[in-house]
Amino acid sequence: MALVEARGIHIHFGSNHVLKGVDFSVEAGQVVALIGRSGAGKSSLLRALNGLTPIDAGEVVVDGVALQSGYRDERRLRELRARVGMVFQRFNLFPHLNVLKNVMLALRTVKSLPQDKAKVLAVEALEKVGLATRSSAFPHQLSGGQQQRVAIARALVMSPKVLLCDEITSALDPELTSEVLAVVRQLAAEGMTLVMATHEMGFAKEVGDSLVFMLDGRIHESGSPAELFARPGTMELARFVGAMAVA
Amino acid sequence: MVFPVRNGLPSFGLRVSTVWLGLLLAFAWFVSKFELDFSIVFDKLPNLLGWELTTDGALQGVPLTLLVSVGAMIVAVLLGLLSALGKISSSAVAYGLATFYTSFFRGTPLLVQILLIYLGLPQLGPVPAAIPAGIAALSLCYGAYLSEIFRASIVAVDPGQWEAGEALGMHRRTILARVILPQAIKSSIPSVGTMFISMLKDSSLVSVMGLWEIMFLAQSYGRSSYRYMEMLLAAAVIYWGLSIVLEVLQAHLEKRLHGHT
Repeated sequence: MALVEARGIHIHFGSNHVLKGVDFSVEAGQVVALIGRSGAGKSSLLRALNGLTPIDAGEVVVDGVALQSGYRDERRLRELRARVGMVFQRFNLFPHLNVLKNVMLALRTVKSLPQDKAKVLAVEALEKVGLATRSSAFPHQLSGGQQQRVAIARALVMSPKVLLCDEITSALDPELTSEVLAVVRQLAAEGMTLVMATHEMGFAKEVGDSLVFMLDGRIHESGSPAELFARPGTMELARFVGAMAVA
Repeated sequence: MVFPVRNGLPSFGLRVSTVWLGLLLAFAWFVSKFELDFSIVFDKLPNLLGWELTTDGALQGVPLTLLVSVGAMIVAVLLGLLSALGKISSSAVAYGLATFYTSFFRGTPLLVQILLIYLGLPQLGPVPAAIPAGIAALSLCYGAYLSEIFRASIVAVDPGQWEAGEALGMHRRTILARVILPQAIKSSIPSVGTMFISMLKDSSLVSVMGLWEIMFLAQSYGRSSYRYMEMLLAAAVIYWGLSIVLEVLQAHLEKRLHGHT
């Protein structure tokens, strides 16, 4: 069975039907790039995978932990989230805690690790994203790219089975984008399972094992990135790829 | 002393001080038209400032006002936080308790609440001691105002903060305690400071319980000596001084927390 399985996912926001029956799976070690226009359902799909947005129909299973629609047991949700890390577009670092404490907080409160062990792991995670020297800085003292790297360390330190990246470079200047993408590239090379919603087509092509094109709440087309970029199977994907290339 | 000059003007701080001085002088001139005699104030100052206990050995004046206000502030913050949490709770009981509490204590006069506690409780048996009863009345009332301030600050914290905590697998109450409240409390400090200054002066209402706080002393000495205005002005100056101390403390606290925006 795949590491991540989503079957028949529907999500409604009031009268707005944002996911219309999505089937989706990710094998361990795979890097999946979700592409599509804003509002196509990329974020909603990611947020369904860790239960941040409740699903109205269907089922999500990650590493054997299942989340059904209409069933929101807090303990089950936390069990699922222990296996799923997430990095957000707007970083969402804790502004009142320094970098080290941002990374340590979940280790201390979720895994109940003692201070010294948590610190060792946190420093290790920060070294991985190249920010161990900024441990005592507060988020507002860092650049956007550095903040996003801290957010990646904060997710990684919990050793998730899969990392969800929700347009993690969209709020960054182009020169800061590359430092964040370098970290993601390294994670992919180390065999981390990644699902990333992205507008970076070149990056999706470079590191993606599979490409999923979403349109209007559905998966419109999916396959290997090289294949899809070279020969889009549908007009919509061809048009989208064309538009992104021009932009 | 050298005053920094910018754009040909003395420094901002100096100009502000000049405005303050001018206004104080205008006030002094206004008061000077009353033909006042402040000798009575100096006689009674030890009582107002509370350097001496009353003949019964009880606290009076400034220390009593401070004891009641500071005690009530501490309890009010706890009540305010608890009821703010009740208002964002999904439990109907917690929500009902919190909303009833704030509605009643924000919606009725403080004096009525004080009398209900002081004159009403003995009907049930216990006769409350004046100081705890005063602290209880003030903290119940101000806790209700603080609960709205805290609730608003909690709701104003970026929802992304909740999501970040949830995505890490944190318990909702852990997120609340470790992520949301520290940010909410920080942003509520200016409003809470205002409430405390207001409470300091409202603490004069507990004089109906027989507590000899600043206003009670000022009024009774003023009446007996026919120097009412002098005593009231003295009380005003004391309250103002205490409020300024609170303002300074608040500014200091804000500055200390500023590094961690």
